[in-house]
Amino acid sequence: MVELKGLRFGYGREPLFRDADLTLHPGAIYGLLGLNGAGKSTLLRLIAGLLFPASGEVSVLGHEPARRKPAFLSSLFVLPEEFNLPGLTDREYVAAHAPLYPAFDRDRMEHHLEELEVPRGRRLTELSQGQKKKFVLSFGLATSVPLLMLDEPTNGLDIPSKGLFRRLVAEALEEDRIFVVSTHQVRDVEALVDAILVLHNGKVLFQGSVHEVSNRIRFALDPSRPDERSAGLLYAEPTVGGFASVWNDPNAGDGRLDLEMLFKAVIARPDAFASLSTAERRS
Amino acid sequence: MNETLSLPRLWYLLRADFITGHRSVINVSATLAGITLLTAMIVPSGLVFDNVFHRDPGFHFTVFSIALFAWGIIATSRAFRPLHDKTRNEAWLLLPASALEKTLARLAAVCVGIVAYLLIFITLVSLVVESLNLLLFGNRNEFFNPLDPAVWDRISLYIFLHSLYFLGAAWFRRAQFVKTTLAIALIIAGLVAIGVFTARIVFADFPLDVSLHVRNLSFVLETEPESLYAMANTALLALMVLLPIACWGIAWLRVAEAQVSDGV
Repeated sequence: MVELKGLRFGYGREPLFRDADLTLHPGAIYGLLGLNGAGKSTLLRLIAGLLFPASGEVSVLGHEPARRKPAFLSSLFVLPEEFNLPGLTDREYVAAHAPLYPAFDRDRMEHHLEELEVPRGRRLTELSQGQKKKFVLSFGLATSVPLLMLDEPTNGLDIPSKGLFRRLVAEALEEDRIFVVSTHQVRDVEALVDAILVLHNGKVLFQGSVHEVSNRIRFALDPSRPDERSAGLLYAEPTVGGFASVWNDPNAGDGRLDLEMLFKAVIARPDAFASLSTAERRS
Repeated sequence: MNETLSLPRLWYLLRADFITGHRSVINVSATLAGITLLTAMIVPSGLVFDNVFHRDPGFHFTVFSIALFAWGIIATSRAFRPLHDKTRNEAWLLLPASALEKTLARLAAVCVGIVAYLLIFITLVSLVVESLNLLLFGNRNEFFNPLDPAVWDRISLYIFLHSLYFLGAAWFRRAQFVKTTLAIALIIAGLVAIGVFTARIVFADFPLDVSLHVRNLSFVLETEPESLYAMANTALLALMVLLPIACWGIAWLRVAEAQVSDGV
């Protein structure tokens, strides 16, 4: 489990998180959403122990990340948005780094590299950015660590690879594993995530399960603007072909989810989502 | 498993460092072998007196010394670049090993690793080069002897000097080689100034003369009266042993501190 309590953090004097709380449970893929500068990457770094909170508690898989103990480090893998790889071939990279992850699965690595069509036998520095990302993603999934954090994982992936990415990540999820996917590309992860985290104004504004949201929130596209006084209307905006709207509808039940609209609605009307948010219920 | 020092993890780190750095080692080795071969063939091998060829006993010893100090010190200065480079340090920081293990792995590579490798490599190169010399020109230099006490004298000086650069590599975030060299120069100048003032003021009435030179890459200690030699030599030996240990220890603490304070 990942638990953040009363987290405070900022770069310089400007606070980024103010008493932020967050709990992540095993067996789920969390979609981490937020505006530019909301602190998504910073939150991942705080969880990974790469940054340290000014105050508050951070507990990750029973460890204090800032202590950076080897047992903790071998329990998590972070795919950063930008990274540099050494001038090694894929086999050399695996030979060098895999032994440090006790549960590393070489067969799974081979399988992922094959599925994602990553060129073999070439130096990693010679690969394109997308191919590098596929390689590191394959490595991360093969580590079999309990906590996998992916920062903008679909940036730079071609269209077929995005579908493959969703399938491979979904296949890799097990009951004891937590995956966190931070992204702006909400369409890429819409069908993947089990729960949604929305960061805004220094807090975890919303934390809820996709199942609950999609059963209680209805997404509609109408040719004309809905009446703002309509019961249950949470948010509406003009879009191509009419007006997209988000409705509070306990009978929605169609399981359809529009993450982009949900995100906009949460940012615009956080109070309206309070009953759906576990973060809000806790506080 | 121990969270501070685990031998299997240390081995994995050494292995990872070897895999990551093996191409550089091959490149340096090839360059060194090429230069040695060319130099050995261009420069007259030994000297001829009275129609008798006298082998040059120092050729490969010189090659070993230059390679050890040049490659070793440069490699040592770069030992912690992955920690200080903000664009790459996530990989270093998230590597599942403790600060002590990461420090020891680098220390083993740039201290024991380079010394051991060069001893073997220069021995083999000298065998090949001098065999070729003999074959082509009919005379050869002496082979490199890794058991020569002079070689181990050089190694002890290298370990002493390398430890200062190892600390500099951990301490400074950028331009580690230049900054360490400047720091050493400043510290020596400061110590000399203190020594001179102390000698002039405190020991002005005593006929003492203790001097330490680095001559031909070796420390030369001279004392007057000679009875002081044993004491000065013991102090020098203690310095040669204790300073490297202190530098390595402080480097480890600095790595641990940098890991938890720098973040990314």
